[in-house]
Amino acid sequence: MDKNVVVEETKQYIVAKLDIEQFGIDIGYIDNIVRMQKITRIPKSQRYFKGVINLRGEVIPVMSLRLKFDLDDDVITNASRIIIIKLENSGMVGLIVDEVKE
Amino acid sequence: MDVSQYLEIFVDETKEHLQSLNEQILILEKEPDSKEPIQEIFRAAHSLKGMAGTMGYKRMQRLTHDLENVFSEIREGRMGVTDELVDVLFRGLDALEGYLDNIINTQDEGDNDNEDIIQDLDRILKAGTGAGGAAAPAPAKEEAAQTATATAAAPASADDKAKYHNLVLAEHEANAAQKAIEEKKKVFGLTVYIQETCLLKAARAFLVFKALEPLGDVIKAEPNVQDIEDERFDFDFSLILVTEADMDKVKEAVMSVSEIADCLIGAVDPASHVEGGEKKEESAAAKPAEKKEAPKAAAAGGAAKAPAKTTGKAVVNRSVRVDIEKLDGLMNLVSELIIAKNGLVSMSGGDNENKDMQGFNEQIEYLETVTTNLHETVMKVRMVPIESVVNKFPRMIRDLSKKLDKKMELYMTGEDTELDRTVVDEIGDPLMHLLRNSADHGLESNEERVKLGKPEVGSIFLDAYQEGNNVVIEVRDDGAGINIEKVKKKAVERGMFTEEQAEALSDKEAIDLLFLPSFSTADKISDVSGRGVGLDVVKTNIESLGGSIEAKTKKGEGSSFIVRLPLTLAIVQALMVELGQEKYAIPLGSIQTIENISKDEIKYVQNKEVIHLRGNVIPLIRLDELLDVDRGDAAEENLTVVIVSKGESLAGLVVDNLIGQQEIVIKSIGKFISYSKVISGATILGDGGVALIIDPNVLL
Repeated sequence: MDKNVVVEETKQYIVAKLDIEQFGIDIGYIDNIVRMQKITRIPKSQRYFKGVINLRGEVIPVMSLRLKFDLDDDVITNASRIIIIKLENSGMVGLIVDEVKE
Repeated sequence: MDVSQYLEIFVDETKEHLQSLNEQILILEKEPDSKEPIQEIFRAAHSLKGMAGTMGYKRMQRLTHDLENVFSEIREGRMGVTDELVDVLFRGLDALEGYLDNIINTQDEGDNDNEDIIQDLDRILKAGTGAGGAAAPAPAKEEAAQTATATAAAPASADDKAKYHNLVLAEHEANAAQKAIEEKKKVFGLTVYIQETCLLKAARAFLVFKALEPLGDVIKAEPNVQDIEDERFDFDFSLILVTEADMDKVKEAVMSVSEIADCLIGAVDPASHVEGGEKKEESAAAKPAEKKEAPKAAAAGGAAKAPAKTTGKAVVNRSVRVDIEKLDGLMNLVSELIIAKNGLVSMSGGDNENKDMQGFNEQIEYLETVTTNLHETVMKVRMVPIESVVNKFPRMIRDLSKKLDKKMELYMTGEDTELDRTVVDEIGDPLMHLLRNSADHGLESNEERVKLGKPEVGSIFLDAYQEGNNVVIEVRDDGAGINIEKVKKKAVERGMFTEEQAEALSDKEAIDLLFLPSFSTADKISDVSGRGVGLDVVKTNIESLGGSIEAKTKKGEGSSFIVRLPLTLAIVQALMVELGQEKYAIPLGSIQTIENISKDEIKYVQNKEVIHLRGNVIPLIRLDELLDVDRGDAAEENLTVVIVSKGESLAGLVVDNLIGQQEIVIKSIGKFISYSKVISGATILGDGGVALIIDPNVLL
C-alpha cells in the first residue's frame, strides 16, 4: 500500500468579527492592529471610506468593511479595532472590524 | 566569480562615464583639435572597457575596446577627428547606452552585437591610419539611409562615388583588358547606382548587364556576377567593361534601364588596377569590409536601433551622490538632537516642577531650532543640481538640428541650480518637450531667418534660477513666436468659440489654449512634435510637482515658457482654520489677507456671493458647503474670510475660526480614497490628529 504523503500548508490567519459573521485575513497582509481612534473625514470620498488616521506619522485611509459589504453602519465599541493591512506596492489601508478574535 | 553585488556600482559608474563621453564628444565635435576631450574620452572608454570586462559583458567590452583603439590613435596624433567619426562615436555611445538599459532591466547586456558600428570603427581606423586618401566612402552613406538618427554622412566627394576606381583586376583580367586596348577597344569602369526604392535589385542589375551585353564584355564586376544575381549588394555595383562603343552610348544603355538612379562611367587604365598597386592595400582592406558591411548594414542597421531605447529603472536601486560636508552637518545636528532629548528627559524627571517650567521651555525652543536645522539639511541633501537632467539636452538639440535640417544652438545657464531629487527626475521629460517644441515650431528655417534679418543659427535658451521659494526654469527661443491668430482660428475650427468670442480673447487666454489636450496648430505631424499631446501633458506633469507653467510670446521675436517649481515639497507654512468641528490648513503662500466681513457687505453678482474689497470684486467661497462640513447654525453677523490669490485672480474663503500659523508636513492621502480636488493632502497635527490641506489654486 502506498503511503500518500499529504502536504499541508498551514497559513496563519487573523480572525475578525463583523456583525454575526467571522472573517479571516492572511497574516501576511497585516501590518498592525490598533484601537479605534479619531478618524478625520475626507470630503467627497466613497461612502465606505470613513476617512484617514494617523499611524506612526503616516496618513492611512480607513475603510468600513460593514459599509463595503453593504451591512449596517459600524457601531463603535471598546472592542472595535482597525486592522491595518499592507498591500504590495500600493500602500496601506485600515479596516474597521467589530472585534478581533485570534 | 559572482559579480552581481557590484551591479549597482557598475550601473552608476557606467552612467557617469557615458555622460562624460557624451559631453566630451560634443566638445570634440566643435573643437576637433583640442587635446583635453580626447584624453577624457580615452580615459572614460578605458574605464568602461575594464568594468565591462570584469562584469562579464563581452559585447560591451568589445565595443568599448574598439572605441578605445580609435581614440588611442587620435591621442597619438596618428588620426584626425572627422565629422563621420563623430557620428560613429555617437552611434557607439547610443549602443552602449542600449546595453546599459538592458542591464538595468534584465541584468544582461542583451544580444545586440552592434556589428555595423564595430565595422565602421574598424574601417575608420584603417582609413585613418592608412597611407592617406582612398577612404571608403559609401558604407557611411548606406547606413545613413538605414539608421534612424540621421548620420550626416561624410560628404562623398565626386571621386568616391565612382567606385569602379577601386576595382582590382586579377592578372588574367588585366591581361584581357590590355589586349582589348591593343585591339583599339576601350576600357571603361562603371559604377551603377540603383534607386533606393527599387525592390527587385537583382532584376535591375541583370537588366543592366543585358543592356551592356551587345556593347561589349564585362571583364570584372564588383561584387561578382554571382553575388549580384543573388542580390548580395546594396544599391550599387561596379564593373569594368571592354567595348568599342563610346562612353555616352554605354551610359545611355545603362540609364535606359528603369529604376537606375545614376551611372558613373570613366575610362580606366587596367594597369593601375592590377594587384601590387599602391592603392590596392586600401581598397582590398576597405572592400571586404564594404562587402561585409553592405548586407549587414541593411539588416543590422534597422534592428540595432530598435532595442536600444528601452525605458527603465526596474531592477537596480538608484542612489544619490551626497557632499561629505552635508553628511557631517547632518551628524552634528543629530547629536544636538540627542542632547536636546536628554535635556527634556532630565527635565521631566526633575524634582522641582515649577522652576523647571522655565528650563522646559528653553529645551523646547532648543529642540525646535535643532529640528528646523535638521530638516533644512536633509532637504539640502535631497537637492540635486538640475545639471544631471539638462546635460542631455545639448546632445538632443544637436540631433534635432540635424534631423530638422535647421541650424540651432542651445545656451544654458544656471545648471547648478538645485531642486529636490524627485522633482529633478520628473522635470526632464517636460523640459525636453518644451525644447523640442521650440526647435520644431518656434524656430524658423535657416533661410527664412536670413530673409528676416535674423542670425541664421537659431538660438534656444534654457535658464534656471531661484526666485523666492521657487526655482524658475525658462525655455526661450528667438524664433517666430506663437501665432495667436492661428491659435484663435484653430479654436474656432474646433468649435470651442465663435468668431466673435475668439476675437474677444486676450492674448494670454489664447496662448493658454495651447495647453489644452490635443490642441496643436501644426499642419502636419512629425515624429518630433505636432500631435497636440505634448503641452497638455507638460502642464499636468509640472502641476503634479506642485509647480506652474506660463507661456509668453512676441510675434517675430520668439516665445518663452516659464516653469515655476517649489523648492521644498514636503513642508509648508500654513494657516490653520476651523470649519465646524474640523481643522483645515491653507498654505500661507496663497494667502493675501484675512478679513472680517459683516454679513451686510455681501453683494450678489450673477447669483453668486461677492464682496467689494479695496476696489476689487472678490467672489466668496463657502468652504463648509464645498466640503460638506456639518456646521450646525449658519446665521452669523460677521464672517472670517481668507483672501487667497493665484497670479492675478483673487477669491475669499469663508471659515469659522482662525487657529494660527503653523509649519506643517504634507502627507499624501494615498490612492485608495477618492477625494475632492480641493484637498491636496493631509498633515498630522501636534495632538496626533489629522488635518486636511486645502489647495486654493483649485478654487481660483
